[in-house]
Amino acid sequence: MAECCFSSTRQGDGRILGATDEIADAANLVDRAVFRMVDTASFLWKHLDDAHIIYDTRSGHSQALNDFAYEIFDIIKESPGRLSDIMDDVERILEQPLTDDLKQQIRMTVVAFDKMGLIRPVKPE
Amino acid sequence: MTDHNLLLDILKNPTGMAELGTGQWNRLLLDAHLLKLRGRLAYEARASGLWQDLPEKVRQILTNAEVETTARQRKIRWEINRVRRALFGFSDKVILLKGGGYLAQNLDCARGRICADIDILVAKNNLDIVENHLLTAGYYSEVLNDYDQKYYRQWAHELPPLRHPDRMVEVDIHHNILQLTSRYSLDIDPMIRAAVKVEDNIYTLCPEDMLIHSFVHLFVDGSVKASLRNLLEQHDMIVEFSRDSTFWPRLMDRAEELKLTRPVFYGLRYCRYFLDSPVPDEVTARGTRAAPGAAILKIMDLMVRRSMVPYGDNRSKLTDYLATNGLYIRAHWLRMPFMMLVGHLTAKFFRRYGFGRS
Amino acid sequence: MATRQMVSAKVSTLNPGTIKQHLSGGGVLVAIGPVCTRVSIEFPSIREEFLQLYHGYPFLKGPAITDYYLNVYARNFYRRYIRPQVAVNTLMNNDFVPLPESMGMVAVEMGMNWQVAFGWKSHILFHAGVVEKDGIGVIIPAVSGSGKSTLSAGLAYDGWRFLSDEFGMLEARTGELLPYPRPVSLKNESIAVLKEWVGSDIPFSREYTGTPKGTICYLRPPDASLKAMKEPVKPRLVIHPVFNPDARPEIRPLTKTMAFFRLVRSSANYGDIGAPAFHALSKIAEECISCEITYSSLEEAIQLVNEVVGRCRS
Repeated sequence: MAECCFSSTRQGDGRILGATDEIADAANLVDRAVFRMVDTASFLWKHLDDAHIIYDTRSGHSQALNDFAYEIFDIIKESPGRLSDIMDDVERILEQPLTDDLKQQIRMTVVAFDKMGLIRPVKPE
Repeated sequence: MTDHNLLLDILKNPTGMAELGTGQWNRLLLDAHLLKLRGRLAYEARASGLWQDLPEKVRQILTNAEVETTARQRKIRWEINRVRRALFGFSDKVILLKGGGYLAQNLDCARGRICADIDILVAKNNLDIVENHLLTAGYYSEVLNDYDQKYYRQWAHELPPLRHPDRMVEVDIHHNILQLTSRYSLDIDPMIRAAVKVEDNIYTLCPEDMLIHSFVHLFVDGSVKASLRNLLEQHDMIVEFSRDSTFWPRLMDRAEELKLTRPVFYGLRYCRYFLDSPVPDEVTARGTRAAPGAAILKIMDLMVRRSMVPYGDNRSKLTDYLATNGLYIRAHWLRMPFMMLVGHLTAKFFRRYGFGRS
Repeated sequence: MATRQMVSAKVSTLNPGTIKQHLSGGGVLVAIGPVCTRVSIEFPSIREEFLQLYHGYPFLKGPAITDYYLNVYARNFYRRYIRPQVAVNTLMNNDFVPLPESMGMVAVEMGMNWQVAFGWKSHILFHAGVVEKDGIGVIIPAVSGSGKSTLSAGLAYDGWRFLSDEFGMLEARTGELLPYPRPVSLKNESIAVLKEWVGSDIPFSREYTGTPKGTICYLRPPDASLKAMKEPVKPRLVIHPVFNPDARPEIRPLTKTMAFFRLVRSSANYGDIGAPAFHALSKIAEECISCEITYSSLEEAIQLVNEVVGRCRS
C-alpha cells in the first residue's frame, strides 16, 4: 500500500504524493506541530466505488483518499493533535502496535494533507 | 472629444441595461472586455436585479466573465492561504496590498474585479526572513542573475517576484509602496503601524492608507496610468469608507502627514468628475490647497480624460475598431511622461486636444 | 421583453454573395453551437476557402449579440501584397506565429480555437470528441495524437451525429452535452484514412502542408449534424481511445475513480468553473460507462465503439 492518495491538481496531472523533496524539508515541522482540520464546510465529497473523493472549494483541487487516508482524515477532524497523537489513535483503532512501515504511511499522509491545505499547523496554546 | 460613453453611463446607472438594443450590447460588452470590466458588469447586472430580464446571450457572455473573475479570486485567496502557511512561525506583520487586500477584507471594490498577483508589504528588516520562508516552502525566484537581484533590492521597493511551481501565481514582496528615487519619498512605518489585522499575521492597510495607495498609483514612474478600473476601485472605497463619518478628516490628515496631498487631490478630482463620487465640498476645498498650477492641471485633465476612455463615440464602427493596428487600446492612450509635459505645451497640442471641447 | 425579441437574429443562410461581402467588410456572423463569432477576412483567397469549408453553417442575417470577433488581416502593404502573411486578431491576447497566406485557414481555425478555449466558461469544456446515436452521447477524450479526431470523424461519417472533435461542451446544470460542430482538423496520415472512409473529396478543405504540426486538412461534418447543432444529448459513455498499430484490439473498463480523474484531466476549464464542474464530472464518472479502447485502424476502433455501445444498451 505504497500510495495513500491519488491527487489531482486543476490540470489533473495525477501525481502520487508522498515521495518528494518538499516533504523532506517540512520534516521537522510535521513531527513537532499540532495540526488541526480547516473548516470542513469548504469540502465537497463523492464516494465512488473504490475511493472517497474530496474536492476543496478553496483551492479547486480534487483528491482521492483510500480508506486508510480517510481514517486519518477523520481522526484529525475529530480533534487537533500532533503526529504522535494521531499514531496513538490509529494504534487504538487497529488494536495492535504500529509497524514502522505503517508509521511512515501515517506520517506521509499527514504531510500530504498539510501540503494540500486540508489541515494546518497551529501554534500551541 | 466627448466623455459620454456607454460603458461609463451603465456603470454609473446599471439599470440602463434594461433598455439596450443589440448594437448597444455589442458595444458595451466589447468595451468592457477590453477594459477588463466585464466581471464588474456581471456583478452590477445581478445586484440591480436585472439578471433574469437580460437576453440569454448576454447572460451567457456575462457568465463567462463571472466564472473567470471568481476563478481568479479563488486563485488569489488560495495563494494568500499558502503564503500564510509558508509564513508559519513568522510573527511580524505581513500586509496584503491592492487586490489581495481588498479580497481579504471583502471590500465592495473587490466585487467583479480581476486580480492577477499578490503584493505583500513587510518591514524592510524582515525581507530576508520572509523570502527564506517562501523559498523553503517551495517558491522560486524569477530573477536568477545576481545583477538583477541586486537591482531589485537596492532600487526597486520589492524583491524579485516569487512563484510556487504548483500554482504559478506571482507573489511580490515590497518594503515600500513608492520607489526610493521618487519625488514623493515615503516613510512607510506609519502605514505599517496602522495596518489592520485580518488573521494571524496577515494584515491589510487601514482604509485611508488603502485609498491613498490607490491614488498614488495614478502616476507610476512619472506617467499617468489612470484607468476606469482604478477609478472604480477608488470610487467604491470612497462610498464604502465614507459611511464612517470620521473617514474624511482621517484621510485628509493622513495625506498631509505622508506628504501625499497632490495624488489625493487628483484622485478625488477624477473620481468626482467621471463617477460622481460622493466627495463632500469641504473635502474638495481642503484638497484644492494641494492643486498644481492651472496650466499643469489642464494638461493632467486632458491626459487623464484621454486615457480613461480609450475611444469615444466617434469610434463606433467595427471595421474602424478592428483596424489592423492590433494595438487597439494603446493607439488611443496618451502615455506622456509627467516630466515631459511642459515640453509638449504647444499651441498645436492645445488645438488638437482642446480642453474646452465637450 | 422587447430587448429579448430584438436580439434573436434570424438564422438563415444568407446568399453566398452577401456572406462574402460581409466577410470582406465589417464581418459576417457565424453561429456554431452556442458560440456566435463575427469573422472578417482581408485576403480574398482565404475568404474563398472559408466559405467553402463553412458551407451550410448558419450565417446570421440580422444583428446578433456576439461572443467573439475574429479578424484575419495583413499588417501592412508588404504583408498583404509582396510577401503575404496572415495576422490574426482575436481580441484575446493571442500570440500566434504569423503564417503565410497559403495557410490562412489554419490561422482562422487556430483563432477560433483560442477564443473558445480561453474564453468559454459557461459550459465545461473537454478536450474531446463527442458523438451521438439513438440518444446515447459518447465522449471521446484524449491527448493529441491518440486519434480522437480521426475516430470522431470516422463515426460521424458512419451514421453517428457529430457534436465535436476538439471541444466537448457540457452544461453543468442539466448534465447535457451541447454540439459545437466545427470542422474536424485532421493531420498527416489520418487525412488519407478519412478521405478513403468518406469516399468523396467534397467535404474536405485543401491540404495545408508545412504547418508547425505537419500537414493539416479540415473536414466539414455531415449536413445532418450541422442541422442538429442545437440539440443536446445526455452522455452515457466515455471512451478513451489509444492508437497502437502493433497491438490487438482491446476494451479495458476504468474504475469510477480513474474515470473521474481522467475527465478532470481532459477539461481545460474544470478548475475555473469549480464546484459545479466537480458535481457534473463526478456524476458522469458514477453514471456512465467508462473504458479505454486500444486499436490499430479506424475500422477496428469503430467496431470497438459499437461493441461498447452494445454492452451499454443491454
